[in-house]
Amino acid sequence: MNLHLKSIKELRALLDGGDITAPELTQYYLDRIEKLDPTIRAFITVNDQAMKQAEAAQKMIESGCAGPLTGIVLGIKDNICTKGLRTTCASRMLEDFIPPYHATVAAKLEEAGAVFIGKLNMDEFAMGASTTTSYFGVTRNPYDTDRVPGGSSGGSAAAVAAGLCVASLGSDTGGSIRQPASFCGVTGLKPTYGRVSRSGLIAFASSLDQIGPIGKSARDCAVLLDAVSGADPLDMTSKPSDPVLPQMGKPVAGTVIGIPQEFFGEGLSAEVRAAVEAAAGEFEAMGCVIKEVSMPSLKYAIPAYYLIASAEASSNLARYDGVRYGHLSQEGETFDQRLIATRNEGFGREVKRRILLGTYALSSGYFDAYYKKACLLRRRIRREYEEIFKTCDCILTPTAPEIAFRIGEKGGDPTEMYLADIYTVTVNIAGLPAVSTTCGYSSEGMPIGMSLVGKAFADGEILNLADAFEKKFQYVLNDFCL
Amino acid sequence: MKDYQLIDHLAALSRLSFTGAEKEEMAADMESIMNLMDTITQVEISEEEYPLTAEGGMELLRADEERPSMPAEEVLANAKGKLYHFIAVQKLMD
Repeated sequence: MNLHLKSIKELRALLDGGDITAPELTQYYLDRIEKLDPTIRAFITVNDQAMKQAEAAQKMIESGCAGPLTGIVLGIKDNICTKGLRTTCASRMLEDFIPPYHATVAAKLEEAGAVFIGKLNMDEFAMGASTTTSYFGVTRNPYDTDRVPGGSSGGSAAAVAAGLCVASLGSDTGGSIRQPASFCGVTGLKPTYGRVSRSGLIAFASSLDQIGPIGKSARDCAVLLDAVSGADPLDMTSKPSDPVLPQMGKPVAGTVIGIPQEFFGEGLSAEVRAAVEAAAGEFEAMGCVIKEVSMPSLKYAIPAYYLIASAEASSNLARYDGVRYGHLSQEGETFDQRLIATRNEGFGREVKRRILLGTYALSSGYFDAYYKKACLLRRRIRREYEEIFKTCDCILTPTAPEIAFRIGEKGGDPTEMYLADIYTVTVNIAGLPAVSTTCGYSSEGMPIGMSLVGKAFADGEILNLADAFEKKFQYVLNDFCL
Repeated sequence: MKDYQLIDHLAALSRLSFTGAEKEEMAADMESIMNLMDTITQVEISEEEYPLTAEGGMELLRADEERPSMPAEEVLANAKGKLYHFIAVQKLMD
């Protein structure tokens, strides 16, 4: 039985019906990890307590207390704290960090009886779009192992695509759930800012970060999203929200979908353009209304995003001094010398670049020209979204300008990698929800993703649209995925 | 133009340091990054049009009341230097 091809709903029925047990399902995934992960390298840590969690889940099932995720095998991005389970952020700085507490999302999933199969690889401190900056090595795309899985949640997307877990959690600061989901042919949701608590998510850029689900389908994402959503006293930006699962299956006819022309200009590959335009045609055939709209400030989105994110990162990463936790250098005579040696050894090159950029943007003499200007542009981009949503229910864009690139292809100039985020960062800047789902394949067989962007807290509406599309879409799975 | 003095200044502010070869690489990287970032410096946009006031969306702060906390042993479990129930660090001054 190809259990890894089944949805959460199908697995729920098998578990509740006694056709399989939670430990059997967990062992099934452990076997797949042993077989496939030496090639994919999606995991930084496989949880040696997973079987214990599965046994506890089985007791919940047998006592009739099972919820939607009881016994379901999940992977967790390695920047989400899991009590007693190593959480590295893919950095030497946190190579041996064992969190003393759960992130709120992890606590909710544990209470729901989910099984944590392991911690998933990512770009170091979530800074990257390729999962090549991880201290623990490169994760490979299951559709072509010479290519990147995207990033920063590359391990989370690759693990789902290769059937190494049922679904996973990622985090998205500038596209880090949607772009890897697009590259690996799976579905990923960046929720509305505030829908999911960030407590226990290792901070990169606090005004942009959001935890979200990656799954084989929009429906699987909806189940996972409902399990982790909600206001949390430990995160003052979190808010209560309605569950999204009841919105799935609602008619989509009449939905007005905006197509911002700036997202279809120079730099977009012809294959991606064709696939997204074909998807727009499919929505039209379902009775949706396609409407041309405009976002003139898209051309400033990359610098605005990188200045804001790096400024926040330079502040957030100031905490890594090797004193309370994390790597501590043995070099240096004084406290200051050891602090500098610790940070030099603990952080990789991309993290150092972002710290320098953020420090520059916040420093005296440059603040107004860079950081403040970026904040003003953030307001302008938000207002442009508000204008679009006066006449549209959602927006359709490509998720990335191209298919997954080859490992090492963008290793030279760092800005090449930054520009790959062009279609995703405005969503974080505006705090909106967006889901990426597969809408086609390139001539080389690589998945192509499209994004549906919704109004704040309309996560359910865009998941429902994605679900409607997925039901009609013909998926192509390769050997790794099968 | 590569600005090595700027790299030294930013490194000092960031509690980082770069050796000769690293500084060369970082200066080249930063030159490229700043060329990209500079595209926004010429944008005409004003605070009058887009006020940078605090936005809504924050929930109320938690009440300032005593709550249970983790045992000291758990909190200190990841600290490399420990002495009794305290964190031990190198001396800060003679």
